[in-house]
Amino acid sequence: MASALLLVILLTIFSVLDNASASQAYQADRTKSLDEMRNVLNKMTKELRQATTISAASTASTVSFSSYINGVSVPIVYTASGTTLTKTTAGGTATLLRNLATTSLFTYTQADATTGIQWVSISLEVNPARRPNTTLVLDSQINLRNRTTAETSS
Amino acid sequence: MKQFFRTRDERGVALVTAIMVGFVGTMFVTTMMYVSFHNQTSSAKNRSWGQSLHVAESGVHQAIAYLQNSSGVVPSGTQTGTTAEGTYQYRITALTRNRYQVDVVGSVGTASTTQSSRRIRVTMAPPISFKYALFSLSDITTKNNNTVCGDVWANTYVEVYNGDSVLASTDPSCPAGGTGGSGNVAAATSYISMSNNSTIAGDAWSGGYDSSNYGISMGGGARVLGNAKASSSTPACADDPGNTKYKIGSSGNVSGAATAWGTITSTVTGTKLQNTCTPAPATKTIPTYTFNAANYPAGTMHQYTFPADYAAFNTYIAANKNNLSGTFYITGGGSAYPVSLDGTTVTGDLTVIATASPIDMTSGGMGASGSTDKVVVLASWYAAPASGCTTTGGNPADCAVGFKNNFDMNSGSLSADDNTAVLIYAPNGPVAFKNNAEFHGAIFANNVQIKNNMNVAYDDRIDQIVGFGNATLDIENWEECDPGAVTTSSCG
Repeated sequence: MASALLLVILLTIFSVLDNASASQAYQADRTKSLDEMRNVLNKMTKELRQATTISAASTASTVSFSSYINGVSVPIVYTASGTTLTKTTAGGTATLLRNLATTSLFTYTQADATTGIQWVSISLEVNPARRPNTTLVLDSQINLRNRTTAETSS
Repeated sequence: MKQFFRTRDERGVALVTAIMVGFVGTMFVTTMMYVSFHNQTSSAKNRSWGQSLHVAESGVHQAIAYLQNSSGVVPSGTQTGTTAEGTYQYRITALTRNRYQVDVVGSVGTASTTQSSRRIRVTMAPPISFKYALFSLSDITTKNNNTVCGDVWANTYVEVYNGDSVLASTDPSCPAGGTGGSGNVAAATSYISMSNNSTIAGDAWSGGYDSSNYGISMGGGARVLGNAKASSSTPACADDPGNTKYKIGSSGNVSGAATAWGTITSTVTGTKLQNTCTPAPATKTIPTYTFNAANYPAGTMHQYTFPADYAAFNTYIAANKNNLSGTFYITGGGSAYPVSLDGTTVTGDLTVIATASPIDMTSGGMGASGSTDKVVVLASWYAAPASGCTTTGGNPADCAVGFKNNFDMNSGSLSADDNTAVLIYAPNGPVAFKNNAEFHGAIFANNVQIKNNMNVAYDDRIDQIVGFGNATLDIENWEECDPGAVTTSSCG
């Protein structure tokens, strides 16, 4: 009787263990994805925050701008294509993020006082590899700090 | 046997089961707690990271407020402050010519795992006000072999006379490394007249027409190396339904595209669009100026009220004519009390602000010497009509700023380096030059009249002059640096 009980308990334990293992893997994957998203978002917001101009050719999936890096203005392009997000600089193109849920990442807001894009909103949506039907979303809105200095006066 | 199995089979099983259940449960709880703690810490760290930037920006605003209250006197050492979210430290370093570097570190959180610090560096500077080599609220007239490196803007018409050239800043005849303009000429509400063999290296854009109905009038050998556009200030060109005005011609060459509401009889290399209406450029205003003695080094400040101090001013100039520098703020006066800089040599930053008197240099020349970098600002609010500024022979007469003979701030050719940059500013009256003026800088005036061999190259050292523009200081550059102490010199 006790053996049968042990068997039942063991089966239950293994079942719980299996579920817990899957859940833990999902949690770990979710955490990893969130960490990657935060890193990418921090990098993008930093560079956009100190950008001078956003190219008029920028779209919902591509943002092209010039930003100060170590005091020097350099061109940077972020492109969301398929399920990957890439960054292109003079040094080449690098993949920053995979498993994008959408390529519509960027929205732009014009300033009232001076023409041109003053605010950029980013909405990163990622499907974790182990749970593709779940979507993680991180949002941020950036105010361009250096844009007005690029405006020319008389 | 039965007894044996029953006894061996069940003894201690409950304990083993309990231990296993306990072990698995402990593992499960431990794992969940680890993930939960990681998420919690990560979230807290991320929140601190975001907040620390806000705290650092609070420090920037505190530093700006300090500069405003102290009239530009920087605090010594590192200053500290607190917000509801965290603490900040800031340092202000005074740079040259009213520029300030503000370094700030914002910190949020106390526990080592969730604490965040971010460092930002902001450069404050006068706003960008001057981007043209020549700027006129009315017209610009030039005569006889003048060279301009940079862009030219007039709210009415522009005359580019025989042999005159408006060149891109990158032209070999212009100073090396120039980035100020493409050699464009714009006449917002009137015409551009190009006499024989004159050159506009950039685009020519007019908004009106001359007495012969030309928007852009080109003589023999005249060249526009960019595009030429004869536009109308009237919406839809409704002022000329028959296409008889806004012409481009009757000679010369346009290397780029040519677009006109009227006919085009010049030779055009690019696309030629006749009877095509385009809107004229909007007129521009001249940057305003606000005097504040605190913007200038106290030891260099000289204030005079004319006519009472007229003799004292002239005495000072005579005594220092070979070594002139400093800030001169002159109120009062008028045409009978001109600020004469005849025969002076500039050796350091020089600012002359004359609220009512003209600034003259008649024949003794004006130059610069020494190896130090210098910025010269000559500004007069004297009001006079353009018609009385020059005589028939082109000599400066009743001008806001009138210089004749050898206003030469450049020791070599125009393309040579020049450690002196000059801004001439006259919002209410005309500026006139005659004979051999040469300098790097710009002229912004109500009217500009130039004659005989004047060479001017736009110099971006004058694009930001304190007092000019809609604010004393703007944020010129905002950059987040790698985390570090507020005293860290690099911003990697």
